[in-house]
Amino acid sequence: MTQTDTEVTRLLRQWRDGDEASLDALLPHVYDELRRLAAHELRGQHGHDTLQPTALVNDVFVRLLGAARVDISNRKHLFATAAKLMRQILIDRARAQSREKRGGGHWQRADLVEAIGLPIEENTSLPALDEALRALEALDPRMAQIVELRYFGGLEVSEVAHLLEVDERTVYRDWAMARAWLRERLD
Amino acid sequence: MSAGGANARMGENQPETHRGDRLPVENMTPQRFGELRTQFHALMELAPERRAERLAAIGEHDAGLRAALERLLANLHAPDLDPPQPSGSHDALPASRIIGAFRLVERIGRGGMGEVYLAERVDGGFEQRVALKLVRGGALSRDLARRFARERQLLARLAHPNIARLIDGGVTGDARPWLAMEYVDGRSIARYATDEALDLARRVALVRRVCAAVAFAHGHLVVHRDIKPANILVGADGEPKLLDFGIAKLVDDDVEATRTVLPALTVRYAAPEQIAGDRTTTATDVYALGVLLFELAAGRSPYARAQAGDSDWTQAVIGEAPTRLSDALAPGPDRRRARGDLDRIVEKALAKAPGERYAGAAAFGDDLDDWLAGRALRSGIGGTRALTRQMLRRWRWPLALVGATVLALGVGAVVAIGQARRAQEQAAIAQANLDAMLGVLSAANPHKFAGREPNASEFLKTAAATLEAEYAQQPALIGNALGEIGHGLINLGRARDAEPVLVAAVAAIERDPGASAARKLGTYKLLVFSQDYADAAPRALATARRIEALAGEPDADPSHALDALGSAAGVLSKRGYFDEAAHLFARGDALAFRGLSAAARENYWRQRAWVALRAADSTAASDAIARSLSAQGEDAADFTALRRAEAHALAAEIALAAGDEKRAGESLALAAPALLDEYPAGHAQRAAFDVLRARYRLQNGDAAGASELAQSAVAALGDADDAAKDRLQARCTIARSHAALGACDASRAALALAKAERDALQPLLPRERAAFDAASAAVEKNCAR
Repeated sequence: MTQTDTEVTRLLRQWRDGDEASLDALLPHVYDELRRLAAHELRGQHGHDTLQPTALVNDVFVRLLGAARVDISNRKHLFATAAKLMRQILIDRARAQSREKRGGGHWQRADLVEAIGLPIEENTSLPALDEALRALEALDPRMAQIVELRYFGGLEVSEVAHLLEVDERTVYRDWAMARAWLRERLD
Repeated sequence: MSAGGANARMGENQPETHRGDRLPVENMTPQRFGELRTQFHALMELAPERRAERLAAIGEHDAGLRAALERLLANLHAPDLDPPQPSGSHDALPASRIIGAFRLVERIGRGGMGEVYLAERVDGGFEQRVALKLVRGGALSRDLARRFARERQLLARLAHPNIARLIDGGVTGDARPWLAMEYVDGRSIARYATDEALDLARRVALVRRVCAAVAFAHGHLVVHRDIKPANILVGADGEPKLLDFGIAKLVDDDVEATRTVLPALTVRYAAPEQIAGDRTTTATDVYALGVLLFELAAGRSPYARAQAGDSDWTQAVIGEAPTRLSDALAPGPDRRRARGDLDRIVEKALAKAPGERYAGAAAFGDDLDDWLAGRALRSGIGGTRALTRQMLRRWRWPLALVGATVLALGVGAVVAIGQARRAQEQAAIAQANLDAMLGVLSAANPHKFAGREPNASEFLKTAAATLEAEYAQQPALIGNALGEIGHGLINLGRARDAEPVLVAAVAAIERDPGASAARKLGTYKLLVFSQDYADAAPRALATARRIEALAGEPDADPSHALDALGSAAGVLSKRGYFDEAAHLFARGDALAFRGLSAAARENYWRQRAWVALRAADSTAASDAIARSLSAQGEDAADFTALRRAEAHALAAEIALAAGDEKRAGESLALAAPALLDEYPAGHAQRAAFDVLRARYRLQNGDAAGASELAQSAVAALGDADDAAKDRLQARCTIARSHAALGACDASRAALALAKAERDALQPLLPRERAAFDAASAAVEKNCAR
């Protein structure tokens, strides 16, 4: 086991014991883990079968937590933060890549998104998506959060419903509307 | 991944895009967007053909809104409307939303078994909120539906303040079973303990309350199987409440389902037998309660490596020794208090082998009670030996049967064992269905057994008959259940009753195309054990032949084969069929070296040692027992103290037969602590060991001590048939002791009694013949007239 994992375990324990600040320290580690796994997937078979459609974000967190000892409010916070961070990472990377053109980046954006099983549509410009999501946040924050949790947190509609404590049907409809709206806007 | 570009869009007669007529996103306000959303949601609920109507109506007073909605619909991906899971419509709120007397409000959870909804009662004049579980999966077969209904009744009887009550249940129109449970508003037990900063004693007391609830359920023949912090909520009143009692079992009906991989998050609390896919029992709940206690007390898992991420949970649960509780606590008063008895309690609850744990939650809770009160532990594992220990020991077997029978009956979360007090009742309802029969029995509670002879055999026989009649169409179920019942009867010393049950078990298993050779071997092994009496010898021979054939099948794994071969050889040797036994051993010897576990080889060589001893072949016996002990030495941790002691006792007996007194003395010294500790005076096993000790004393010149010990052993052995050989050995020892002391009348009298025993033996084996001849010669020599 690596130093990092021990550190992650320690931070997780602190966080579980109520130290909110340790979550912020925790997330970069989690994303290292995420990248490591994604890289591993990319090195290995490139087929889509190697990963469950369930998003890796979710899996990684659950794996690191080791148990469902996180109550709903904390879990909500955790997943919401994870999704936000994922969004940030992907968009930063996309921006960097577009700056460098096809410079030294190890992965193509699409590869990463694909490798970790996020349900973002092909050929989506991530910076444009980010901008559209900001606009949506201003109009309907919850709808934007649904998109964020789906796209960047990799959660299923039903999981989002559970997390946000919203009727599942409502999430379906919001999700469908958000995607239609984003598509319209991004076209 | 993206649904891709190939999906049909839902809008009709719409061009691909309307670039010249975009949604007014730049100047959209939240209010306007809210209107758009409301209308969009409403439209989505309509059938497609009615949407145009609705759009037209909207357009009449707000053309802009209509245009925006049309563009949204044009961009709608059909799959966006689909549920995310392949399980289809089950993920959405069911179309009707009314189930039984309840209206679904929203989904509050989803698990391996299906979905959980918050629901409200819609009939009658009172408000009631329930957690309604809708079981995943297709329609139930008629058989399963019947079983479901029956078990639901069982669960409905679980009225206990610490158990979330099953309120209602049924089967939906599309044949999905559902259950309405009391809705509990509270924090998880772990969160509660943390929030309230409970000290160790209060945490233990909390678990103790949970134990009481679980024990209550065990007493009602229900096993939880999924106890974990998330399933125990503590309400504002500080009372813990268990959720989902018996649900896990209720839901997975077929054996395969119980063997599927556990959801990742449950593995942490799963008992080794659950991970291995073996049967779950009351001891499974005990294990989970042990983990719960440990985690509540220490704030972390007993499996340090898994907790640290150095191994996965499955490996840890199966192979990692749990941390000692006190070692996981911070230095301080709690740690000092936990050291000793509480450590032992947790260790016992977390034993890898179900048989080494507390038999049920009641026994576990009793020890916690005692610990909280500062008393000696009732189980006797504490630092101070408690008086009740021997009593509980006596009832250990019936308690173990409680566990073993749970799944064997295959009809759900049901514990069953006969209980002397109710044997008559049981007989009276012999015709009754399984429900009633099982309902009569409540057994997980040791003090109900105190002072009574367990008469489980009546019950087990009845259960076997019922099973055969009711489940004839399910050979796998019958085979398992009858096998287990036969096992129980053998352990009760009722081989003759066990035999027909096991014959039926074997017939069912042979009929079951899915039965593996290993499973057949296991059941035939039991059958041959049940044929361990004189009249059954010809049938035992036939069973041995079948075992031999099965052992040669390609999918027979060597350890099962070896076990069955050794057992058959042992039984045949008792009837004097030494050639046949040797033949089976020849088959076994070929397997015994193929990288088998130490346990399998140890057992096999011990059987060989016994057979050689019966044949009075002390050279072969010495060789075999040496191999057996050497197998034990390879991995001492694999063998319980009792098992090691039994091997040493056998070694002592063989050394005595070979005239090696020094070795006999050493072996006895190794055997004595565990055997004397395990079997109280008066126990048949203790008496047999005492006879051996008496023989050693005699060889060592302590004739008076030998005589005394042998006499008390005779008294303890009573006149049971299966104690005849031990009685013969005891009487021979008495005769020889008296002869050595010059008490010739007493010696001859004892020899006469020994002769009577000898003459009654069917067959008379070389070992007993030799013992009698030696005694006879000694009396002749010392008391020659």
